[in-house]
Amino acid sequence: MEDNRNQQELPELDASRANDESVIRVHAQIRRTPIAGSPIAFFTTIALIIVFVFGWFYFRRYFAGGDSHAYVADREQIAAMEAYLNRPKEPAGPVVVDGGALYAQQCSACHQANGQGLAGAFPPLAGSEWVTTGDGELPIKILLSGLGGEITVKGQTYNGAMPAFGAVFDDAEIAAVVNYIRGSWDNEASEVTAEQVAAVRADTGSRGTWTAAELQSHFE
Amino acid sequence: MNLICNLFSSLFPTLEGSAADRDREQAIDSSIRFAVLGLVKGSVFWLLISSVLGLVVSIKLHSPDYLGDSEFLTYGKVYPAFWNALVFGWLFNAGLACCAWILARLSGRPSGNSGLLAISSGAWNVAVVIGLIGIFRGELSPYRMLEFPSYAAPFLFAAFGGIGLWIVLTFKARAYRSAFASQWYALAGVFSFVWIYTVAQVMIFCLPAQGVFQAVVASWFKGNLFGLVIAPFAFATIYYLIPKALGQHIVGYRQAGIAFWSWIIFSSCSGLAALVSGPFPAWVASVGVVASFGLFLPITIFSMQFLSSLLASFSKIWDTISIRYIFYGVVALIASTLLIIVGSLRSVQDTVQFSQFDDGVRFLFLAGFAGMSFMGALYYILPRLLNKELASAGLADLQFWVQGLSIFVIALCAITGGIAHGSLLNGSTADAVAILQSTQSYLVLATIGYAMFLCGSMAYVVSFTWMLLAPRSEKEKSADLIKSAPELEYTPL
Repeated sequence: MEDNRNQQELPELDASRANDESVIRVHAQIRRTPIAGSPIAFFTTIALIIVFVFGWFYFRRYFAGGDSHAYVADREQIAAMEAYLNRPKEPAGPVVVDGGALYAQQCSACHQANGQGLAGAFPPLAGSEWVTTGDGELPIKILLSGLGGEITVKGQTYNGAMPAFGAVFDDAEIAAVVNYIRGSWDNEASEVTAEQVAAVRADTGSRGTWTAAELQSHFE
Repeated sequence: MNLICNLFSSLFPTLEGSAADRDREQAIDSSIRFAVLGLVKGSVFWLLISSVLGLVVSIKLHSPDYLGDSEFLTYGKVYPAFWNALVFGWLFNAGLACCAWILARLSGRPSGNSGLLAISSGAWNVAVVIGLIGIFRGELSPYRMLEFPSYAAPFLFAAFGGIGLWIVLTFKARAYRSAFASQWYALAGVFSFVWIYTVAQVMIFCLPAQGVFQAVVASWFKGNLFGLVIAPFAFATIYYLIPKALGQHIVGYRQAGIAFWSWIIFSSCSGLAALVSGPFPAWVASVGVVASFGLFLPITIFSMQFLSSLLASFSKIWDTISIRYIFYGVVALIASTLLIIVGSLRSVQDTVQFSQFDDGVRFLFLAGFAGMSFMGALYYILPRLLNKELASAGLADLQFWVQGLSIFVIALCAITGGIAHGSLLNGSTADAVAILQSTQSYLVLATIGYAMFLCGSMAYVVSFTWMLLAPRSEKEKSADLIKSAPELEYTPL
C-alpha cells in the first residue's frame, strides 16, 4: 500500500529511501556489531570449508607434484607415462637396415618401384649394366657422390643429375640400398658389405659428381 | 583497504557531518554533472555500436556469406570489435559513470576537479575509437581483449589514469571517515585495471615474455579484466543502490570484507583455468581451476547478502525500476559465476572448451550482471543528474523485458549449444562439418536474441535522448522533484 502511494507521488522516478551519510553510518555500525548465531556467518563458514576441501583434493589429484615441466596433470596419466618410460627394453641386437624401405623413400620417385626408370628421363636399374657390373663398387661410387651428364644405359642415352647420398646415408645404409638394387628385378648380382662402402668412401674422399666417362674404367 | 577504514571507524565511532539536506546532494550532483553525463553518453553510444556488432557476429556464425564481400567486416575483425566495444566502450563508460557518481555522493563533498574526469573520460572514448579503427584496419593483436593495436594502448592507459586519479582524489577528499563497500570496490577496480593493463602490455608487447608465457599472461589478463575491473564496478553499484532505493541495509554486511578479499584473491587467478589441456605446466591450469572453484566462497556471501536484502523488500522490487535491473543483475551474477566454476573443471572443459559455451557465460556475466546493474543504476542516477523525470517509464519497462529476455536467450543458446556441440564432437564419429550444422538452430536462436538486444538498446537510446532533450516541466523547475532522503532504518539486535 505504501509502495503504491510512493509510486503515485513519483510515477517515473525511483525514490531515495536513505541518505548517503546514513548508508555509511549504518553499515559501519553493522560491521562493528557481532551477531551471535548469524545464519550468514554459518553458511560463509560452510562455503569456506567446501572451498578448502575441494582445493586440497584437487591439488592432490591434478597438481602434478608442482613440477613445472609436467604437462600432464592427472595422476592416471602420470602413472601411464611413467609406466611407458620404465617399460622393459628390448635387448640391443645388430641393427638390420632395410634397403627396400630406403629405396622406396629416396629412389623410387625417379627410378620407380619396379626399377624401370622413366623413359627418356631416368635410367632403369633393372637389368642395368651400371648396377650389376663387377663387385658393386660402381653403384657404391654413384650413390656416394652422385652422377651428372650423359649416360648410356641399355642402349638408351639419358642426360640428368643423380644426387649424392654420401652425406645422407651411412655406410650400412648405402650397402643396404646397393644390395637391394643388385638383388631385385632379376638382377641377381653379388652382395656388398658396409666395410666395402667404407673403403670406397675413404678412397674417393669428398668430390663432386661423377661423369659417365670417369666411370667407364669399371667396364674394361 | 577496508581494514584501514575499519580501524578508522573504530577509532572515531561518531561520523562527522549531517548531509541529510537535499541542497548538499544537489551541489555534489551539479559539480560532476558534465563529466558523468559525458560518460553516460559514451556508454549509450557504445551500447548501440556493440549491439549492432553483436548482431552481425551472430548472423555470420550461421550465414557465413552475410557481408562476406566487405573486407572490413570479416568475422575475425567483427568478433573482437564486438567484445572490445562491449567491454571498453559500453561497460567501462557505464561502470565508471556509476562509480564516479556513487563515489562523489559517498564522499559527501562537491568534487573540485571534475574537469579532470571530463577530459580523461573524453580521451578514453577517443582511445576506444582509435582501437576499434585499428581492429577494422586489421592491425589487431591476437590476444583476447588485448586486440586493440599497440598504438591505442598509451591513450587508453593515460585516459584511464586520469579517471582513476579522479576517483582516488574523490575518495581521499571524503567527508566521512568510514568507507562503504561501494568505495572499496570502485577503488579496487581502478587499481586492478592499472595493474593488469601495465603487466599485460609490458609482458606481451613491450618486453615480450618467452614462448607460451605470453598466453598465460593473456588469459590472466582476460580473466582479471572481467573479474577484477568490470565486476567490482558492478558490485559497487549493487552495494550502493540496494540501501538507497529500497531503504534496506545490506543483510549480513559484516561478511562483506570476507567477500571482498576472497573475490579479489580467487578472481585474480581464475582466468588461468582457460589453459586446461594446453601446452603449459600442469600446475598453472590447476591453480586456475582451484581459484575458479574458490569463487564459491564470495558468491555464497554475495548471494546471501544481495538476495536477502532484495527479498526483504520483496514488494518494492518490481515497483522500483532501478532495483528491478539490479535484481536481474544479481541473479545473472549467481548463475554466471556458478557456470564459471563448473565450466573450469577439467572434465567439463573436455566437452565445452572450444565451443560457444565460454562466450555464453561471459555474455551472461558482462551484459546480464554488469550491464543490467549499470543500467539500473543509471535509471536512478539520470533523474538526479538532470533534475528531470524519466522520459517514459514504459520505455524503461520495455527495455528491461526485451533486454532481460534477450540476454537470457543468448546465454542459453550459447551454453546449451556449446554443450551439445562439444559432446557431439567427443562422442560421435560424424563429420565435424555435419556436427557444426546440427548446432545451427542454437545459432539462429541466438541471432534472434541479439536482434532483441538491439531493440532494447534502441529503447534505451530513445529514452536517454528524449530525457536529455526534453524541456523541464514546471514541476521539474521547482527543484523539489527529488525529495530529501530519510535516514536508513536499522535497529541493532
